[in-house]
Amino acid sequence: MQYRKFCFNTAIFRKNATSLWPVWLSYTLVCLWILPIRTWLQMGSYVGVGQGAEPLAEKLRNAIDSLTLAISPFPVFFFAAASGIAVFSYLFQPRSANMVHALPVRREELFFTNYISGLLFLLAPQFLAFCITVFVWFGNGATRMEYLLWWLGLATGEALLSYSMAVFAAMLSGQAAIAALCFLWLNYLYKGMVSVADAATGMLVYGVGRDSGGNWGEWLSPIPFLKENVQLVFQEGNRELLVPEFRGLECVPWYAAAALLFVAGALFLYRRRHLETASDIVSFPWLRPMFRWCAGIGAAGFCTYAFWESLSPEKYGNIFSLILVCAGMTGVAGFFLCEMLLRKKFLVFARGRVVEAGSFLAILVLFLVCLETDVMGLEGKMPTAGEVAGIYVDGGYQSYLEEPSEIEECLNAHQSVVQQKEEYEGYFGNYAELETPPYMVWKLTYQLKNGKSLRRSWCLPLDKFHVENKEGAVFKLLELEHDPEKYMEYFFSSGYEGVEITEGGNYIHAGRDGEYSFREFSRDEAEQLFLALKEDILSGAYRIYPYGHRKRELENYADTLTFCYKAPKGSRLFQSGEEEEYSGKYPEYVTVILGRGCKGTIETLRKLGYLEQGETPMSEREYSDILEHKNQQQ
Amino acid sequence: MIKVDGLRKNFGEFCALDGVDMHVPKGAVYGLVGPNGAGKTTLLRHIMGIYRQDSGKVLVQGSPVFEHPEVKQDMIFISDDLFYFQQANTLEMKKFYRGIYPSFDEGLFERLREAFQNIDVKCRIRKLSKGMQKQVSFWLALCCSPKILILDEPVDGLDPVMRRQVWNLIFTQKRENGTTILVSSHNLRELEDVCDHVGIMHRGRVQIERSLKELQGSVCKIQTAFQQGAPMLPEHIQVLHMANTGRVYTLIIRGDSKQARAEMEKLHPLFVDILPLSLEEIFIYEMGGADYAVQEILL
Repeated sequence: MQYRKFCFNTAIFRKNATSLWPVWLSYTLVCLWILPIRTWLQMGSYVGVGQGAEPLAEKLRNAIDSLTLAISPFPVFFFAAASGIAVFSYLFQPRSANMVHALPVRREELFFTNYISGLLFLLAPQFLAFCITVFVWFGNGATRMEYLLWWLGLATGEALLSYSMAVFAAMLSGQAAIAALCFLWLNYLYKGMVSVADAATGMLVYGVGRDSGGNWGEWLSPIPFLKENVQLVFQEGNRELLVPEFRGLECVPWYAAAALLFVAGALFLYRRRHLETASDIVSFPWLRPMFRWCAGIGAAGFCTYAFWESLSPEKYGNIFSLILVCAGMTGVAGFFLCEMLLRKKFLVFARGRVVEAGSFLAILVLFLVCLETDVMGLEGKMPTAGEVAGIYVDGGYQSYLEEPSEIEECLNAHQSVVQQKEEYEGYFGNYAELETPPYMVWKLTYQLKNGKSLRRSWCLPLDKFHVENKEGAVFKLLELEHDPEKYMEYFFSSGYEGVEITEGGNYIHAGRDGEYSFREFSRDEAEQLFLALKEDILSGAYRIYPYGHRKRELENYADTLTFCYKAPKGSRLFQSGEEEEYSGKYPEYVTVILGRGCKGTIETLRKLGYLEQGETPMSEREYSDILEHKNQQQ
Repeated sequence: MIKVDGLRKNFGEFCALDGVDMHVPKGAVYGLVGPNGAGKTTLLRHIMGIYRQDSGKVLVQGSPVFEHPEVKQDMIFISDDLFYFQQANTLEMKKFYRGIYPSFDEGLFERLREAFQNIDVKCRIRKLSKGMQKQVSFWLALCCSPKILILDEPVDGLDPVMRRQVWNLIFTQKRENGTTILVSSHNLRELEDVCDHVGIMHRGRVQIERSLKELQGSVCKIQTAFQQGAPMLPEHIQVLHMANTGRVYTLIIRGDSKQARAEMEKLHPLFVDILPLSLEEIFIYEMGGADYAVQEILL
């Protein structure tokens, strides 16, 4: 009795249930829609054929498939925020806060009663949806209830976490809208911090991109983490699973445990809370500096990154001074804007605050200078050859290096680029007044043996001097890329030797009149052309030049050949620009730009009658000259 | 009944209560007066256990009140700034109060229907006029049978008839239950009729706190006239204020009225009259010389 009185007040619970009915009713409707109604509709429209194990399995797959919308974390998190903020909404108005706290009820009793009320607004609809869905499944012959139980466990865990977070957020602020923002902030804090850090390193650390890739702390941002990791898996690679799997549920107990921490934190804050902070932006004085500094960092990060992106940085080389000024100005502006919101007035430039803003600026500048001068040694950080399992290279084309000698060579080229940083940055700086200088982007993704990856990307000069300087990194990496076998892998997958031409293809030919002609060829002709092209490429005569390379428009023809092929299953594909394995199901298409090195291919085209005897395709330069001339005439 | 010792409260850099000392005797009707911003409402919220003090003590019946529901269940606060739950009507609020206050008297609620017959109990309270909302708050508060009733600007917004009726109901409650009443107002004339103790607040402190009798015995107003102008008054007569129209002098003197009359008669005046002194005048003359901006309190 004592315990019940201490923790729970029936009158307040009844008041919550009656006055906040829109919250629980709308969530009930959502739960009913996303689970039993949707399942009923989906299973009702399923037409099974025959009897036995296979149709039953198909029926089960169909039933489980109807859970895909229900496992999305968004509805739970949205209603948890609404519920948490609604039950504690009396804290956001001085009138209601005073009235409720004048009642003979301890804060603990108020807290637990409101907490339990709001939590029931979420759990009761979920349980109701679960019970009705059990009947729907049974009614339709699906009996594997463990999937529904897993869903219930997931939904309960998500509700616990998100609702406790929302209550915690409600305790931090004196305004409902700020509490909602704070809830979002808690959910995306880690992602946001990583993005700001990535943006800063991407702008200032030579070769380090803006995407640091996956890292250990992803779980600290629950909404995106649950969205990406909790899944119903029906297919493993190219193999369809006999029974679908519910994956990513391991995090749920941990999140439920974290929910307890949030509840404890929220209760602690509630007991310490001063009611006069109702309608204030933050309800604890110690949050004010944190709020100002976070706003300053956010403003500096976002605005400076937007400014940097708008400048096309590859045209300007090193623009550290501009970044420093922009980050400093926007950071301080964000800092004081936040102070204005906190104080609810514009004149906030008191001595103490100006000194604090000065400290903020000094730390911000120090941080940026540390990044620019690479105090942490990020620019020079590279794995040893022994640590690398393979390297995805994206330069003139995409390739994958896994032979020790190739890896060693790539590491050497990487090192040369880092050593020539100042020279390359100076190159872009010198071109600042002109149009975009000739350059190429060279990206490396090291796949390490420990399962991690390391990414680097640089803008490298492609002028005559750098391309021909045999000691320079650009020359080295162009030589590294000049590998006939890699060209074949790039066009026809890593299993190019076992490629089967499945259909005919087409030949696009640029005529002397500037018009393109489109010719389709048969499968037999495609095979002949493929063999000829393969021979040309493997002979070393063919070469892929990166965009911007001065030889590209001289050596490449304006004509292209398109093939349709099937590679051995599991072969590595490069054409999509992402890591991809061939599924073996559908044919792939590839378009090859012909070049001066394709002598055998040209001869085959002549033999097949697609080119006149003695006719040679035009180079890209010749073709663009014709087009230019034609335009001038018009 | 209520004892406040050295109560301090700051809102950021603003000092709202600066060491308040106050004592409300059991069964008293204590009027708390002061200008806007003096700290009256803040003090009442501390007494109700709404705000947590920075320092000092607030004791009700000898116990601290903050986070002590067993103390708070005998107290009711009618705020100047009323709050009712969204969509709630009087019956629903009654149900809520009944669940919160163990001493809630449902029979009294029914008996008081006659006094508040203009209130539609099924109408949403937020739709009622401000005066009617205030009536609902009195109705519910009286039904909780409180031992201590704390009222912040209680009759603002009520028409004169309802004002009288509400005070009658409060005094009936006081007679029957011995309820202690603490009422804040910036209107001394209102309080003069109902209070037996008065405290005046200014700049976050209770400057004066006395019973009405003590106050009335401490200052007197004398009208007198002399044949040839005012004579030199003896030094032990402490004159707070003196004004004259021709040979007729009006003096405000600190001390007992009989003693003052005897002293004046020794000076052979043409006549001496003791005039009634309002609470308003007492405060003006008691505090007028102390630069307490008393005009703000009273005007």
